[in-house]
Amino acid sequence: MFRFIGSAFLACATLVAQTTGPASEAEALFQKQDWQGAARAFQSAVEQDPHDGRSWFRLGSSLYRLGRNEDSRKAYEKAVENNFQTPYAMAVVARSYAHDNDAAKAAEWLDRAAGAGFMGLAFVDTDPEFSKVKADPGFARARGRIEKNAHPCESTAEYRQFDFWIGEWDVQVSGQTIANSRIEKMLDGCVVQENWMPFGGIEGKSWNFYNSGTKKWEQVWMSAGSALKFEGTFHDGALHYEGLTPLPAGAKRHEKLTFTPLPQGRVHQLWEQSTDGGKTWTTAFDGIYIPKKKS
Amino acid sequence: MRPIVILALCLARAATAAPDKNCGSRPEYKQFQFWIGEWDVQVDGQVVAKSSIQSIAGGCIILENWMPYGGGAGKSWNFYNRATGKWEQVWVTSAGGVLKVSGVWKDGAIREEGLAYPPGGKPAMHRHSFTPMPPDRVRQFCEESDDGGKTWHAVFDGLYAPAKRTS
Repeated sequence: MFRFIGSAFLACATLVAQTTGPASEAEALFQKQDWQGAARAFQSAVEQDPHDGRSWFRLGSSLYRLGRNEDSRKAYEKAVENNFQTPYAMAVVARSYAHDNDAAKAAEWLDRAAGAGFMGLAFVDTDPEFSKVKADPGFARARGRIEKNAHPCESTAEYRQFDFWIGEWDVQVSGQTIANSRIEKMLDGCVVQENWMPFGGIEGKSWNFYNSGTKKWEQVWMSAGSALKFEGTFHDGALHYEGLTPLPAGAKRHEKLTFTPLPQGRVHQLWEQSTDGGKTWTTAFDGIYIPKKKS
Repeated sequence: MRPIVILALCLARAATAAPDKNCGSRPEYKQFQFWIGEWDVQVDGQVVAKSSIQSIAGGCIILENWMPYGGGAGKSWNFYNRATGKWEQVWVTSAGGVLKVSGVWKDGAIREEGLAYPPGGKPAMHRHSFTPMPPDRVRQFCEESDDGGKTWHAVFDGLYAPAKRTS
């Protein structure tokens, strides 16, 4: 999968393959770990094009391997100026200051990296250079921000708006229990998954997730090989989803799906549909989720 | 959830189609079966991740479990949407990233495009392809565009090879 988010290191690795043109010889030297040769080649690449952030970054990495810490830092800072792998480049500048035992500067740059979205906690925790400055309170604060970046769904309020639905449930319709349902979090809280297990009929699953790009919750419901998609927000004490489902012959059906937390830890799910553009609505499902008694 | 409509769907479909549990046996669903398996994923010859691709929900969903060595994780649902006649992928990461693409099997690959929503960043156009590479590999190639689709740059080029047993 596209691993835009996976890790800065992976992003670095993946970018290697795409280099073409004048920098490709330098790249080959870099891949052969000929740091001296790579440093020379990337130096001439940045002289040709001072805005080549990638080559600045690679120059920094080559010089770092040659033990020329201060020169490498200057190159990394140029990579930052030219917006190449910005959060990660900031973090390696921080490492460079840690190498020099400058805890204040290391913390400052790591905090900048955190502010730019850096989430490479493993890098901060395992690179030996950082162990020199670990005790610094500013460093610890920056590390905390990075940890939050790496697990935003556990620490950011919006991602937790649907927590009330997590649990093991008996689901009642008109006072009759008709299904079991298990609602669980996955991926460090980034996905809320329903596992719908009716006593009669067909099972289903849904994914529910907060999309920070649209600031909306989304649900994809899959049962009987049919997918339904909803989008919405939490407001007025409930999660309000809406959807527009394509029907055969080009018509569309409007959907409203509402989850309301009730007293005693219960949850009300109401699903309504309209085939006249929202003028009249019929109830497709009206159920109460009741927490299962722990046996 | 929603037994009434599910029942309606069943009745509607009963006359014309195979049982719902058999999503996986319908011809369209076979198009993406080559991706199911346990994989080591290589970039530039280096294994960067493990990935477990499974058929779930009676063959109606292909579930991806992406486990990179560098930390972070992701999952995706891949399903054939009968209403649109397209494959869809919904990808979510443990860092809150979301990607939604759709497309079809064409010229020897599943080809999808859509939008990536990196956590805290700007949405970007995204397209990717999954190509079976006989005898037993799969190539995944992803590109992104920051200018509305005028120019594209590669962001991921990985080769799925059958996972080596670790016993």
